[in-house]
Amino acid sequence: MSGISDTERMITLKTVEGTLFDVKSSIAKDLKTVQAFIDDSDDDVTSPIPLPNVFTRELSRILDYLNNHHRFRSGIEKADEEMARYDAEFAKSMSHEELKALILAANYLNVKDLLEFLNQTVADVIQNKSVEFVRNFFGIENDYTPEEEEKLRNENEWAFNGVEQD
Amino acid sequence: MSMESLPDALLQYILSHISNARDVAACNCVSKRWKDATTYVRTLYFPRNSFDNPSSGEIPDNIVQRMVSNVVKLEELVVYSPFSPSGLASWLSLVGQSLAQLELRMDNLADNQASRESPSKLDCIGAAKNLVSLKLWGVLMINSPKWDVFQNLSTLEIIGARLEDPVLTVVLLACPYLKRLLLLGCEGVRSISIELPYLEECKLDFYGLGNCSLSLISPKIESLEVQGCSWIRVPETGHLKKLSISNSSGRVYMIDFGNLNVLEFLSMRGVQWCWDAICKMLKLASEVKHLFMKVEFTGDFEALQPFPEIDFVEFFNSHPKLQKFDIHGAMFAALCQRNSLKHVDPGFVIPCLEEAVITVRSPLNAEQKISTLESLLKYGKNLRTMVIKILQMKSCHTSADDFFDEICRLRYMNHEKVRIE
Repeated sequence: MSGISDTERMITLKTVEGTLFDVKSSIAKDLKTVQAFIDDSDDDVTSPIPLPNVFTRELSRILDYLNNHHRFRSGIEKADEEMARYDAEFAKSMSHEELKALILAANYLNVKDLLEFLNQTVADVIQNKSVEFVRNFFGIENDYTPEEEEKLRNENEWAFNGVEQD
Repeated sequence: MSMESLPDALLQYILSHISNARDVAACNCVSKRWKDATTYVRTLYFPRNSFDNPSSGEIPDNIVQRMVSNVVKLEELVVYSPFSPSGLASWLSLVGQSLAQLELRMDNLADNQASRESPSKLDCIGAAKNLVSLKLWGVLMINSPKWDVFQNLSTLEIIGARLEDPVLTVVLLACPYLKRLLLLGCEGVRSISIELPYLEECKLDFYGLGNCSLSLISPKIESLEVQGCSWIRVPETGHLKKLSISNSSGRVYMIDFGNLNVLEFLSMRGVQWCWDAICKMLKLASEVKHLFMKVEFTGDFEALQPFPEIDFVEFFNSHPKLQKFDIHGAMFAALCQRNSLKHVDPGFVIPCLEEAVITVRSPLNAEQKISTLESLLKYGKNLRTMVIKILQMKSCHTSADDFFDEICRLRYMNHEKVRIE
């Protein structure tokens, strides 16, 4: 299709709740799952692409992040500082629940940079927390037997002093 | 929404960001899947107080070993907690091949025993053959370590060390591909000759009497900082952009450098520099953009002497690219002697100077000093900021007050540019 530049093409995405988002194809490229879908399609994709695992709240945040980062990268030199500030605010603005939800969405959509950033943020949250906190945060069930648990606790006793309690 | 639905790869990816050994230990206890996932941690960091409350029955060296063995392909190991040579040897036998970065708090400066232990902690480090970066704190280096050449080592940092010259030579011989060398707070060096063909950044901080001799032959050197040497020879300086020489305890008396055609930043600091060394340095640094001068005195022998007169015009003409000038110590006084402004004429220009920071130490020669400050403002066509720092003037004489008044008047007349601190 000649005459229309790539960056102007719009892709429509549909979340679980049925909300439609119009996204520039240059942004859609960062949603690798979506891009793969587009690449695999024989014809131009005109109808909305359904995202059965992605909720409106998450998609909205992801697009927000990508739009801002694209803006920073294409703009002025001092963008690094602004970007760092934006990232810090972005991470702070979410509750732990929202952070988890966003990781799952970003993983599904395969948004590399955002995923890296979110994973680092989660790793930072885990820092210096108790085992119970981590289990609660991730909704993990303890699959150790009481004996195994006892053994592990003893082995790792050195690590548990001075740790933040929940 | 549970994270249990996280694929293994994602969990491993998240956990690979965790580096504090305590957090890794906590993650190991969370669940079996998590214990498997911590295998992919890339860095293990043991803070100083890791083993202040040790587990019953297991010594710290073994705990570290257990955690290191649980990781597949460890890239970086940082241990600030105390350890023994045999402990270190056991860890490196597990990860010596894959380890790229090693940082250790050796803590044996006060040790006299250490020199007799064989193999020593230093010796053991040789097992990490593929290191890219090595950083050691508090090292006693009076016995040459038995090292083969580190083929991949590009950064070596030693902070807080007691050295002996021949040992340092042996150490550097084992690191011929170094690009960055930092020796900070090192005691015991007298004379060192460094030949590192790939070295780009070098920072040497020798403390003691301030009379070390340094010879550095590294044609690619771009940034060099030296503290504590009185004799410095760096013949190949074609790429040197940043140079800082200081000596807070001894006298700088001989500097021998190649051309400084690309030098942008020069800092000269110290209690006393021989006049010859000062002149040579200033002459070589003709292209410099930022000059920081804080040499208190000159003089070739014990006696501390003020700088002789410096001609204002000649100085700025020989440093035409100067954008920022920090004038502390004896330099300002030298520019304010009776004939310093002799050659100033209306056509004179200081073309690039944008910022000047000047420390005024005494009210002597007050009139001359004001003239020099005024000349800077008048002929520095691009001067945007002048900061005048006034040290406590010892004299209670009214001359000090008068002088201060004059400076305030200068500031008032040039309030957009001049600031007093």
